[in-house]
Amino acid sequence: MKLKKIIAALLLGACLLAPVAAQQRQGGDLLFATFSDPLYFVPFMHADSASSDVVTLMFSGLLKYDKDLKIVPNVAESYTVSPDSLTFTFKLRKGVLFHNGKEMTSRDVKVSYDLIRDPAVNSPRRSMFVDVAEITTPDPYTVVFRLSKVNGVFLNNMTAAYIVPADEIQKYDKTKLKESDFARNPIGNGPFQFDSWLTNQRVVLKRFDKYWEGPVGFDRYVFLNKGNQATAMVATQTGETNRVMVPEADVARMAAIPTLDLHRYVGNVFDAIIWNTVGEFTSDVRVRQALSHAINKQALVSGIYKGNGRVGVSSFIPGTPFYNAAAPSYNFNIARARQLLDEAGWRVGPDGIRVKDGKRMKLFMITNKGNIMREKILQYVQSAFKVVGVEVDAQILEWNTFLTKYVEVGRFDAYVGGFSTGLTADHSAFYHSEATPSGLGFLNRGKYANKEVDELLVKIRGTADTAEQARLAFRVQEIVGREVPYTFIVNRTQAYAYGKAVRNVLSVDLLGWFNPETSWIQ
Amino acid sequence: MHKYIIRRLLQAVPLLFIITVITFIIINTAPGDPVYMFVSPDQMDTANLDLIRAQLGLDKPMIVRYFIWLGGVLKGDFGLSFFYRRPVMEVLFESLPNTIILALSATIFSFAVAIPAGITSAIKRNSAFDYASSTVSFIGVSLPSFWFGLIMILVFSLKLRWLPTAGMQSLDATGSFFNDRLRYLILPTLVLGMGSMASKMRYMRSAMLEVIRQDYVRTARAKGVAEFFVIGKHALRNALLPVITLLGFIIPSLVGGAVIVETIFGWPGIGRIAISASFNRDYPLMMGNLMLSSTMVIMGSLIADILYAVADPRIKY
Repeated sequence: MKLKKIIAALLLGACLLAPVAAQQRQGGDLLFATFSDPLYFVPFMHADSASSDVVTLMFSGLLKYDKDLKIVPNVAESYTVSPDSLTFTFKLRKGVLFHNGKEMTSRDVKVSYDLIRDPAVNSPRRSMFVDVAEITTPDPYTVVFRLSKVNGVFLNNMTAAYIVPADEIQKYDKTKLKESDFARNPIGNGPFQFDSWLTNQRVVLKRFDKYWEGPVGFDRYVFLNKGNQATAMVATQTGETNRVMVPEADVARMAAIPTLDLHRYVGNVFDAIIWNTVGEFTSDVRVRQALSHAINKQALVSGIYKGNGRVGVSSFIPGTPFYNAAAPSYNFNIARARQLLDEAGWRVGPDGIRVKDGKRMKLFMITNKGNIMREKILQYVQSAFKVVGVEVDAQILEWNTFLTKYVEVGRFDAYVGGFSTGLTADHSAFYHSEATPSGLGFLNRGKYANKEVDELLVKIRGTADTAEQARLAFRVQEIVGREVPYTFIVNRTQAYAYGKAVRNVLSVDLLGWFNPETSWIQ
Repeated sequence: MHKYIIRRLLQAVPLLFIITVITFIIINTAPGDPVYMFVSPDQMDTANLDLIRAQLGLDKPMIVRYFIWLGGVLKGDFGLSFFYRRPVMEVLFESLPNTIILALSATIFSFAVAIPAGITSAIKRNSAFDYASSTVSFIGVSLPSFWFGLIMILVFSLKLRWLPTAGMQSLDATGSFFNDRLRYLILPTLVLGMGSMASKMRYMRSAMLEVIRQDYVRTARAKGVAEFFVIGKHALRNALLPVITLLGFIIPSLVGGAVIVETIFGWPGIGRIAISASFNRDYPLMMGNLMLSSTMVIMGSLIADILYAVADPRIKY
């Protein structure tokens, strides 16, 4: 009898121990040191990254990228595409709950997408879904999207669209969602739920225990606003916080700190020189080619970016199937640069600066204040161009002034800028000659125009066949490689430092921290 | 005295009005367009800029916008912050108490150190203490607060681990104000108080030096009054006069200085709101903030004048 009791007690003890072992993957607070506050948590209204970082943890979309950059179902269970690529039918997972305990149904999906598409709502992501003609919900777990024309990046765009609870969001005036109570007390369907927000202090998210994939590792995910980047890094060094973004200049220093793990990954961002292709000096392709040859990009990457990046070659990021490695590129070659400028009719004048028809070649080049890397590129370029006989009047301007008074109105010969680029083949934004309300060449501030490129870009959008998209994108890169509307400097690497106690962090190129759901604190 | 205060308050009204006109014009004609802050550069296409402009009321001429704004203000409505999409006063008054805490503690710190140190320097002129305090105050005035702040963080947070780097309270703050918030308050107080402490110390020293040479101080000594009372009662009251008037002018300078200190120490105050409002071209929030600080400056100088009368019986209004 007594023995039985002991055995029973031992068995019970073993049973109690087992879940403890399993639960080791849970617990702790992720404390992310930031330095700018979010604005509002309506997942399709924000345009700033601070809001985006928070929203991504609270909301889930129908689809997502897996770590090989393949599009996979998320809160959708599966989807089918009709042969004409115009009808997309999504089966929703059963038992996906919102943080208020209600189950997500097809109605929530329809309402969410209809709001994004509604011109009165004026979502910054509206143009992603302008080709959607109609959304229907045959049953609570089925949603059908009908497109008016083939859109080659429709599924990619869906990874950026989150589902909100229809009953909650419809309580508010749809034209004033940013001001609504939802914006400061959001209800999502993601792994973390909203807890509290103290302006310029912190945003606290807590584990959502009924998350459809099972509860996440961290007890809480906290954004602690430390006011500025330097203090945020010190706070992570002291262990007050356990995650911080590390700028290029500090990577080596932070990597050497034994209490921290430094993660680096290729970002989907590039820095480039944008040429005014209708400018007085830079409208000549040979000038743009020559000046591209005059820049030692490798020296910039190792010197200014401290090796945190790769020499820029294209807006298409190496590693995606759309990148054409054989497209024309411009190595550092001063002799070739001088030769091209000579051919273009620019002869070295008495003061060493090139002259043509009595006009000295003096480029007006700008960049925005606050981005030290870009400021340094501009300084470097100023001296590098002097070597080939081109003078640069360089100005560093406050962001809003830079944008509205110079870039948007074409008041520059060239500017140093940075772009983030999607993972798709559709790069119309950079190269299409037309800027329309539905998108196309809206980032094309250098007014680059090439008919064939325009046609290729429209074709890329109009096909759902990835191989065909890649073929067309290769051709685009051949042409723009030759015509140089941009001189790509660097594909930037991004870096984050984590406290050693943060476990199971997986950083993926182009996506960043891939698995906050399954990381935990030891 | 009451009449004087009322008159001064009435004078403040047209003054504030003129300030609103000037600041409104400057803010609205400065380069930049708030609309661009609502679209990230890689999504510039999609949002309809004209619709945003209409939503923000920026489609109307400047003069019309001014009177719409003024009409709201007279009804107590300072409008909606462009950026935060919340009422301007809600945004400001959420952060104002935090700045007041910091400014108050910096003021107390600076007076608490400056007055005794200044007096001692004056009495023991050319002593080691005098030279030391002069050196400290010259350093204090010259240190740029962003640099000094970062050094303090490096020393006290990173090296010594005595104090937290930034913020205002711990995540799970329990217990009283003193064992949590005070730790966060120490470094920003020191940095914000340093500059004004140094200048006040100099003021106090020179005021005291002037006063102790006066006849009535000699008289007091001749009467056999104890040295402590000579200084503490007869001299101090007169020497404090110029220092007290500084109190009124401290308010605006503290609020100004708080901008940098709040950014370095992640202090959730009004200075950071002001900075982000300017960079984001958040016109209503900038106007609200300027109104608030102008009011504080006007009140500050009024307080200074009143304190002057309190401290010096010869002054009557």
